[in-house]
Amino acid sequence: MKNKFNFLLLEFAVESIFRRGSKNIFIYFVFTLLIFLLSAVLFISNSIKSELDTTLEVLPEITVQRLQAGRQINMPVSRVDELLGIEGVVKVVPRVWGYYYFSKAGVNYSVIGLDSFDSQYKKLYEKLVEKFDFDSLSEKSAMLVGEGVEKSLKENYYNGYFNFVKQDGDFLKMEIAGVFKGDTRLESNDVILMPKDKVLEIFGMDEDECTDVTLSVANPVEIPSIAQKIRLMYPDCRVITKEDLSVGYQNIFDYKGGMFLALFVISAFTFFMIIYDKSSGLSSEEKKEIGVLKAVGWTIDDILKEKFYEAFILSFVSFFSAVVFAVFYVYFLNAPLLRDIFIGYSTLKPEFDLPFVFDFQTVAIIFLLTIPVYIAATIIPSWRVASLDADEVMR
Amino acid sequence: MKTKGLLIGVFTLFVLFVFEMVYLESQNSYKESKRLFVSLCTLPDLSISNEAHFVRHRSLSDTFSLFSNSPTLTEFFPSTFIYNYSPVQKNRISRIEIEK
Repeated sequence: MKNKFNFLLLEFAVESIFRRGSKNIFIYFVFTLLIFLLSAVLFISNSIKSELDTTLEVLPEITVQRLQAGRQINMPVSRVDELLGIEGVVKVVPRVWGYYYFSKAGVNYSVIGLDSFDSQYKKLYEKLVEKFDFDSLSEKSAMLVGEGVEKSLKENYYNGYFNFVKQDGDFLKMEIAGVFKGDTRLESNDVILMPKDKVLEIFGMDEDECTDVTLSVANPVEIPSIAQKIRLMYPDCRVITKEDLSVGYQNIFDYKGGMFLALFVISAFTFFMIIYDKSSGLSSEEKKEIGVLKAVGWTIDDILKEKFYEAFILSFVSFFSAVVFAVFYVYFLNAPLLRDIFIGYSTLKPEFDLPFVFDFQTVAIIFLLTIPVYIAATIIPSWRVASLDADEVMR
Repeated sequence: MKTKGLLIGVFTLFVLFVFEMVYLESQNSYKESKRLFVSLCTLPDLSISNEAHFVRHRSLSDTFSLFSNSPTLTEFFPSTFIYNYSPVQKNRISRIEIEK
């Protein structure tokens, strides 16, 4: 009987929240805004990170780049056969790719050369590309571009083609054969895919050269030992494993999310300080109320319970509405303004949809960071007053 | 009465939340094409910034590319870089104002 939940006490707490309406509405708005900002930033960071993790799964296990004087240089294709000789390596692909700076738009395009424009790959491309003219791709000088590339070219009056400036100053005209679908915008926005020989021509590379080499390894346990073997075989090469990439991602997002968290901690503590200050100097009316309650027979226990309900209801409603608003803001409105923390300032900004990831861990952390502190900041001053004698409080 | 109102408010929030979750979960279907694209072009990272090489595929860029390869950034050794303005696009210094 003693532990039975007292609904009347809850009712009293709700009434008391509404009785001090204007003060509580203010607290509700500020608290909601704070939690909203924090959860929105963490949601954006989580989505982008999960996007990176999904794409990371399908990447080749090892990338080998040749360095000279701290800079990456081209690698001879002849090394591919030697790398294939390593046990455990399933596939070795020499990649030809690079950046093409288009100064009028002020952006870098990622130009990637592929061999696989034969008809057997037609189905694969059909899944990825819209407005597609596959045959022109293998016959004529044509390329596949991301949405952002097409847009920025159009803005500079290149309709359906682009003139690349080669190393020697000549032009190479390439038609746009297709545009990648919007689904892959986050990955394909600045990408130009074209036959390998054209990329070699644009970048002025020899045919027996490639930018870097990727290796696929069947057994993930063997990756570190294979990476070590490559390092011994080619001391001039840098070997990047998938794990290195994932560590890199972790760093980037910890940095960006953490920077925001640091700012948030300052504003949150200011808020709690105001709350604590306000409630530690409980208004005389509130003190009187506690005194009257004590005089009519409430125990300290009852008063603290009532104060706890009050603080919990207020903070929980704020928290819940903040999360609901944050989900709406991030995933329905695509986080205008806040998203810019995570993306560059360049003109080729993709208008991507953030992939939806609801991470309960993040929500739980936000909950624990905010609500207990708020409850403590309101209960402790009430306890101080409640532990005094009733007549002393009322006097 | 007020408790009832509050409960209705919380319940509405809950319904909104569930609706958001269900709707967003049902929209999350194009992971496959992304995986397909990445397996095709085999390059990591997202195209969320394109202003400099080391930013786009930063997990692949080397330590010194910051100083050597960038078209819009001028190297300025100890303090990493200063921004150059694009002569065509905009006639002002991008983002960072230089104090006179």
